[in-house]
Amino acid sequence: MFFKFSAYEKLDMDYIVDKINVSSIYGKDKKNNINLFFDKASLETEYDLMTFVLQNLKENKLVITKIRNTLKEFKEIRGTINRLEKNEILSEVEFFEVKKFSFQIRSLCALLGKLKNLPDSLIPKRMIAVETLLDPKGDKIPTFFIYDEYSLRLKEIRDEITALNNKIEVEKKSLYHMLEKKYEMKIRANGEIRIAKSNLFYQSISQDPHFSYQSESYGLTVFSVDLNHAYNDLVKRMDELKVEEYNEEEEIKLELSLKLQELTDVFRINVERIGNFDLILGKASFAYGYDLKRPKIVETDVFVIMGGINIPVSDRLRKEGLEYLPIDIYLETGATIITGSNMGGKTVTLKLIGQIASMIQLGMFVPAESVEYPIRDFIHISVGDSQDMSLGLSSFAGEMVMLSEIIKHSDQRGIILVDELSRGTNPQEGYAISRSITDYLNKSNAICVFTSHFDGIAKGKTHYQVKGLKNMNFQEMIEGQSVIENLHHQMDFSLEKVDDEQSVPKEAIPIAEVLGLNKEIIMNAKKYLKEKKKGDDNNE
Amino acid sequence: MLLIDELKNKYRTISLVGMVKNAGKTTLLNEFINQAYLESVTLGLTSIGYDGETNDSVTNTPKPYVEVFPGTLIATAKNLLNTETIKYEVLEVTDFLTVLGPIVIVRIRSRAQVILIGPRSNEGLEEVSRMMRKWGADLVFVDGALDRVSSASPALADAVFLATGAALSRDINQVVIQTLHRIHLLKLKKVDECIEIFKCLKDENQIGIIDEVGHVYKMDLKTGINSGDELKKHLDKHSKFVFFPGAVTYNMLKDIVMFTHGKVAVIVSDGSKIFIEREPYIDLVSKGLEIAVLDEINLIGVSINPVSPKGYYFDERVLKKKLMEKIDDLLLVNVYDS
Repeated sequence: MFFKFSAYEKLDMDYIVDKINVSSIYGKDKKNNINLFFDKASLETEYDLMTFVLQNLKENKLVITKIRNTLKEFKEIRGTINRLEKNEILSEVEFFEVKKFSFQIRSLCALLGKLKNLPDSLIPKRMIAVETLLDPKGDKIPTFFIYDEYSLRLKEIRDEITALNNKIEVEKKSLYHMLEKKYEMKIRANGEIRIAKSNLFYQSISQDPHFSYQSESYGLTVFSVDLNHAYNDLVKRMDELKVEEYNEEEEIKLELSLKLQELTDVFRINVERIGNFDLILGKASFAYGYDLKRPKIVETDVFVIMGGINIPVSDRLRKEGLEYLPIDIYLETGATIITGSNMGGKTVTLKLIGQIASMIQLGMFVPAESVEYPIRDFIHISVGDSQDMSLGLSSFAGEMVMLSEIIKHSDQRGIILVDELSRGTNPQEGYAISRSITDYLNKSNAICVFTSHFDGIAKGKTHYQVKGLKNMNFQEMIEGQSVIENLHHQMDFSLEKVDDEQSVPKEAIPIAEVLGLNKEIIMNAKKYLKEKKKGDDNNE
Repeated sequence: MLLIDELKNKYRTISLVGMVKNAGKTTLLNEFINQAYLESVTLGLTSIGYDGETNDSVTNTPKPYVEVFPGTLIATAKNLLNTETIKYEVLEVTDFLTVLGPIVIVRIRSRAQVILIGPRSNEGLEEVSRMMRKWGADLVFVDGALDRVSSASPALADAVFLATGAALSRDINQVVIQTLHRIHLLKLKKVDECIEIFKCLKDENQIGIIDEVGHVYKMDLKTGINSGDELKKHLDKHSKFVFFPGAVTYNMLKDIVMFTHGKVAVIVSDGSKIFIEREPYIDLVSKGLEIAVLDEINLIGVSINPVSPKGYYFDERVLKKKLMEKIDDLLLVNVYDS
């Protein structure tokens, strides 16, 4: 399992994968069961395919639009294929669906043929045998019935039915005419007459064998012309023919089903290829829309992100009219610590690292200027949210339970991301545990990243610091902008690599002040901070 | 020239609705089918669907057979097309599902008796009508309904016929009065302000209160129907309209009329959504009810069935005369002439 402890949800991968727009039901299936890649070769092959499609997205927009529309039209055919494989006989509607599928494959193939450099593995196989079988007249109309061309006998039966029908119609007309004249009344198109009992002809009509009694109310009686009486032989023959036609049609359906049964493999292959192509088209379109880049897959243990963007956060900021600042970071196996201001984007960066890794493993391009990535076995992220507490433990206990599980896997090539390690307990012990855990994981095969407010845990490890509010000018709040907007504008979100013993910047109180916390509280907090510093200095 | 030729030239979709069961809607439909056959007009036929519970098996279906001729296009549920008795060419399989399989569009190849069960939604009806026209239908008939269950509205059709008859009451005068009342409701006039707002509310299926300057207070449909108090809370002297997206009953309107003394006009999405008997309706109007619709229904004709399935019947000529004196602007389709 690649994603440990709901890492997929915690990294907002739902949001990201949802950006992949697929058009067909088969593509939707592929997207819902999206594949993970664990070897370089198959990942590179996937990327090559996406590169081809991406190139066409830029150069052949019209064809791509047509392809999407064709993909949208595909209906679920797998139920019918299953039925064929189980030796079942298809119905007219199912034959229609199979025929339509083969016609759609033909249009799709024609469109895909217009794309440049598309490898054969993505193009469905033409289904000429199916087309011929279900379009015996070759008129290329995507409708279906049991055509006369399927059997000579069927044609004979139908011709006889038509001839007989005409004969009956002619006979019926002359019979109606005769009866209408005789009884001086009009027979309705459905062969009924309604007459009052007081009618002069009531008696004769009720005794005339050409009419059969249907129903009556107080005053009116309904009779209908009884064709059986006059044309018993014709009607009987018609009934026989209809049974024969039905039997012949059933025979043909059986034959067609047997022939189609031999072709089910190509249906399966095409369902697969439509799904694959659709997903690749979706991933490539996502890459095109968000200007995602193809990462470089490396064999070393170095994970480098240049200009990385956390998509969910940057989407949200854009809606609020704010800009997301891309992040650069260089990671290796062992522990990396990120410290820095509150609101400095530490959690956002931590998730960004996980998102980029996950997107690559899911065969997607990445939101960054450039990325070098070593394929990993698993990813874990702890962000101290309610999902961690679903274990039924306190936030600290939850974190420890998960970490002890993850540490068991630390000899594997994984990615471990922890936001504010030991945040749920007292600072002294929190510091001690954090430092000890990071010390331990610093020797592991996993790429581990921790964010922390504790001074001194970075010792001996790679240490990044958010530049933060160093240059914040509290007097220069821009009017008309909210406090959050101001903070966002003055915050430097970029990371800088610092001396491993650099202390954590103390910007929590100024930020709380800007955010409008009660003045008295702020003043006292500043006082307590001074006292605490004095005390600590004296102890040393 | 038969009526069907005139209809074919003027309209694309015609909906048939009945006052009650056995009002003769199917007879009316069969009459149009016969006329179309005689005049070589290609028909497309469908109906509005029913909810699962009223129609869970073929035998339980409330729908009678319709006799169709070769060349007719029909949109119905796949499982209702029994190949033993019905010969057809499959033209489309739609995405609209019923308990009897998806709605399919077929071209009938030999005379047959079919059961029509179409899509349940307005979008579905529009789509299958469009498809049938694409495949060559000159005119589409929708076997419609006037009931609270169906969401599809006759307002969607270019024209509407109403079937009424003796099944309505043993008293011929009641039949006339009730039919005239229904005609009045179906022909209610269109509102001429804030149309875009009402359209939005209809699409969102929400009750809305609109004030003089066009501000809208929206309310969930369920809340609005179940709690007149909730509605009253948000009505004030600035309120101008109350919009109901779905069915409207006496109790829903009574509160509004009493509370606002008729100063607030009631807008319903169309006239087929009002389920208020004549007497309470007249009572509400006398207390100041103003009512208009968002989508006008183009009622063009009626048919009268003088026979009740309960065994009594009226003199057709008397019934016709009583009704037609009051509604001389409507066509009367003679379906039951003896």
